[in-house]
Amino acid sequence: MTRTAKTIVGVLCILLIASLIWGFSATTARAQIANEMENTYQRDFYDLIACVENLSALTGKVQVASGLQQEVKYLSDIYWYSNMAAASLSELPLEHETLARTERFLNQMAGYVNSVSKKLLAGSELTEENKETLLKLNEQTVTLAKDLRALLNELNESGSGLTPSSSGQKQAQVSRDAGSAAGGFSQINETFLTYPTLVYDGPFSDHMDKRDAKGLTGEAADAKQALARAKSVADSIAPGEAAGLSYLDETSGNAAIPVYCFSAGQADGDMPAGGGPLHIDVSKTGGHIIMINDSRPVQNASISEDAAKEKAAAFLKQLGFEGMKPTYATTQGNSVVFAFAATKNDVMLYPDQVKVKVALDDGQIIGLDAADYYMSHVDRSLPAPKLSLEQAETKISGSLTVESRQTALIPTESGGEVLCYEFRGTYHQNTYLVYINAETGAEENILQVIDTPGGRFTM
Amino acid sequence: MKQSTHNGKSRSLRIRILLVVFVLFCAACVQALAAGSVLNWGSSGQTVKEVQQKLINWGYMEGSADGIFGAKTYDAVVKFQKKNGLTADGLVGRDTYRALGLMKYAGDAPAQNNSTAGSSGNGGSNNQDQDAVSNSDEVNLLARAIFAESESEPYTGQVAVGAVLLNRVASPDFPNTLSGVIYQGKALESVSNGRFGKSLPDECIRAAQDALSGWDPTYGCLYFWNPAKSVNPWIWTRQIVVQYGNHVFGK
Repeated sequence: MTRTAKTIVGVLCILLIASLIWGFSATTARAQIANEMENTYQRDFYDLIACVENLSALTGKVQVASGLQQEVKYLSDIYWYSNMAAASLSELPLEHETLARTERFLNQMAGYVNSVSKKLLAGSELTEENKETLLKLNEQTVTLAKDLRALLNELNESGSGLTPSSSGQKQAQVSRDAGSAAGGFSQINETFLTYPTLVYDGPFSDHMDKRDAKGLTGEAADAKQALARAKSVADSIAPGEAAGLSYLDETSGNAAIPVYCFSAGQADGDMPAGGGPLHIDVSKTGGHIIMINDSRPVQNASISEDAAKEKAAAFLKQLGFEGMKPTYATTQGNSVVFAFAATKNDVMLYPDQVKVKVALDDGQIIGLDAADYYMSHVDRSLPAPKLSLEQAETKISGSLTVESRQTALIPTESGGEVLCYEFRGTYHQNTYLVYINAETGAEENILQVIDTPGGRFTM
Repeated sequence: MKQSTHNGKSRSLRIRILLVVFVLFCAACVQALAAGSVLNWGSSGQTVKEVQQKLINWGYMEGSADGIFGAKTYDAVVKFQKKNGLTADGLVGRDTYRALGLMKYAGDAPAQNNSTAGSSGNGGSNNQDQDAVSNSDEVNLLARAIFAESESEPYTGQVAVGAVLLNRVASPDFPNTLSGVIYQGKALESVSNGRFGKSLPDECIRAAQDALSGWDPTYGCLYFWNPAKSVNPWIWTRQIVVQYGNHVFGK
């Protein structure tokens, strides 16, 4: 071989060795990470099994508990373990449809025992129906615990583990095989399809999926009428863009509020595929303006928040909303979102909420969200309060220094409404809103008011 | 004979020079990879050019931004650091980047944020994070998810993606926290592909804020996907409600 050839061969050998070393270290590092991942998943699986086993015991014990205090104690424990189990389950590397039903079962069990617990603390007792449901929950958790243990044994014996073996879109088909983690969970998931739905007083109850928009009144509008309505509103808030407003899409199927969607293109008249900066939704029933969003950037803030609030209030009047009072404001960059609630006879109706977004550079209305309002606003006959304001005030904690009071209708977690007295007070530099039920005197909710530079939040 | 030896010598010399150049090139690559993103004397590239341009604009350096970190650049960086109260070591690390106004790291906002709409609500004002409770972590997380999933979609589509994620939090079929929903398994392709975590445009932050304020252009949907891409066949069993841009939204 010539010297040249030898040199080249030498260089190539060095490169080959170098890449082999690199490949080896990369593979080792990768195997180590895969190992750690599998360990994390195993831990989640073991946690899940432990929680479900606890649940199967607790749902049994609560049925033979010796009185209110014990019942509430076991229900609280069931609540805790159900939430833990749901969290561990959601960390497993499974497709959504493989575990959605199981997740729903665990979340609903937590919600159910929580609502029963509250009921017991308010003075009720376990009804026959409650006892039947608890019995069913016991049977279901026992089966679930057995199935999960069997699956774990199977996976450990076959050595396949929990980490999905292949990646990419073919995952779904591959994972259906029995003997894989996803296949096993799929089967468990399907057993839950045969169980009846759980309806109770809570946010995860099945009845929450099927709420109607109560506030949508009026005749059915077609797309042309809806467009005319959208254009007339756009004329008042964004005159330059109103003429370009045209049909973008409409909702179909199970939209909570069926609407026509309109959008205005860019200045040059061409509408991009998803719509231009101005977007207006008009309801199919009654032609009401449900949503407006103008996504133009707002470069600076020139007008005051108060001036902006007045513009928001004027806009609502223009749209035909009567008796709206401002509740809170949030700052988003150089715009402010004002929330308003409807009122009736001086009672604040919090479920009937409309939000208006105002740009602080010129006071233009750049957003409206009336979806909540149209979901819940009806002409209500409010119940007469059984307690007076003074009587209700005696029910709140003595530690609170009350600053203001009003009557308000508040939404509950499960989609209902309850009439309350709202007391705004302070304790140790924190501000709270306490709601006392105007009929029973029970404390319905406490919200802490948190003031941040971005606006006022409650939690 | 003499001729060929002479040729042989010059050829092997050429080979040796090539070899040396090659090794130096490899070393430079390794050094670039190993050193991470801190620029120092000897670095080169687009980022060096950006840094130099800034320094020239502000009068710390003369000449042109050639993208090679040499003596002139070093002196300029030291001057800049002294003037701005940074450690004057001539290395352009995270703090110096931020002081220069370059968004190099995910989540950084430029040190001077006056007129960029939306950023003052979050990235710039740090007083918000002094409180025990603030929603800036949720806004940030949701904005990242929106960016990763729908970066080039129209604004309404981005708000819609945010609303779908928040609807999932409220649904019993999904995890009960926003991070649970976003990081769940393979639910969001961009998260499982590792695209998550890049730096954020202002539009996505605004879209996240709108979604967190309650705007829901999907009216209650729990799913979204791009019908033109190949997706899990199960998702086609969902009922489509509306389409914005490239995404359809369904229940």
